[in-house]
Amino acid sequence: MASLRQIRRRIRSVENTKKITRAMEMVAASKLRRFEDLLTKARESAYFLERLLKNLLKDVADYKHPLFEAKGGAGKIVLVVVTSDTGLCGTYNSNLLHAANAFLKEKADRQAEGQCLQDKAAEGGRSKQGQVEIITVGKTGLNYFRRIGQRTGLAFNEIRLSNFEATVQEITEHLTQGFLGCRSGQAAGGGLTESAQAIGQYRSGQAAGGGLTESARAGGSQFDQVYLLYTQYVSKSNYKPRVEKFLNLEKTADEAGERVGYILEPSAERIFDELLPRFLLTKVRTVLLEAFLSEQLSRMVAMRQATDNAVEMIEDLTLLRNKLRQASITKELIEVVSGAKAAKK
Amino acid sequence: MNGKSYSLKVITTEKVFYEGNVVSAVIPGEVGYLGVLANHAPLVTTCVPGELYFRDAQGMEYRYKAGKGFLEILGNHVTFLTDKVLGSKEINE
Repeated sequence: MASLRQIRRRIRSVENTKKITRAMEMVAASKLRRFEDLLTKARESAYFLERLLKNLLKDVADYKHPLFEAKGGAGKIVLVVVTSDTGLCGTYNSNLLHAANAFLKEKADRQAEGQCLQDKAAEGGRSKQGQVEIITVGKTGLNYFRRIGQRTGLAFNEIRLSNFEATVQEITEHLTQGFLGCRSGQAAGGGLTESAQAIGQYRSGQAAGGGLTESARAGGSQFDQVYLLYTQYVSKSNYKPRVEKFLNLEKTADEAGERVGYILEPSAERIFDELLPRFLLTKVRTVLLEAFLSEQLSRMVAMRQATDNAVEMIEDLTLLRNKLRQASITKELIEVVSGAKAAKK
Repeated sequence: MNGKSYSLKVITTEKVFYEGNVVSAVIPGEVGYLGVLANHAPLVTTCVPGELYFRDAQGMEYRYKAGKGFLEILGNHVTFLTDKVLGSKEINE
């Protein structure tokens, strides 16, 4: 049995832990509110763009934009995994990484099937098969994939509110340009204009003979498909990992609505060239915000749990301490009384 | 002021900048400034930086500088999405 002194010390240490977890809970709660605010506002333009895009696609169903083009099937796939920079957020990261592994496994399986067919058909194209490149956001993901020896591409760490917009642009550009296979040498920061340039380059390249796709593929900077893996935020009690296809864009077969019959000024091409990069940018922004929101939420819940546990532990220890103290008092009393009795005799 | 009003929503990347009923609006479209009144035909256009003007149902006039963006007119709902809106100057009539 532990001594009174030891138990007192343990109570003190648990109390300190409780203070820390409570503070972290409150920090997470305040960050949560800030992200929530940002997300509600960002969703406004996201919804607008989504609706507009859907309506436009109904109108000009036959229009082909490079970003909608499905690439040759089983080429390089990019998976963007949005994890947290710091730990202590419950199951947030492990759920994500679990989903990431499931995704990788699924792709690998499909690859294996494809490989058999490919082997019979042609031996040349095999080296390009089955590559999933992972782009990580957040240190936890990066460390994890390094540990298991998975190939990782770019990594974005330490995203704060101050560099949030810049990072969103950087990620979007990287993905868009990688997808189109036209990497402009310019530094990041151009944002929408740069993506628009990439589209322009892509188009001119295709017009010049359609060989660009091949040459870009040889350069190795090309992705055929881009997926995002992040924690979707539905409500305070509902947030879960979700894989979403980012590129190529897919036309949603939404048969329900009828054509709107927009007047398009100046042309469908111009509108799509402006609209799509903006749409993608908004998509990345909302995805990141949702992920951060879920992270803070997850951390808040974990820390509240920890605080509750500490409180419970303190109660138990206090009870034990009081029992021990009482026992020692009783013991002393017995000693005094029996000592006095012995002295009387 | 008279004239039918319609709903205008000005959205920037970060927030909803303005939402309300207006009687008329002038928006810097890529092929030229567009005057929008109620019951306009459905239209989508890209917008260039320029001056944004609208007058609400109470006759209040608003003038702003707007960045690049998009305009969608659908029924009596007009949505203007832009990078940023600057220099608010309200003229009370």
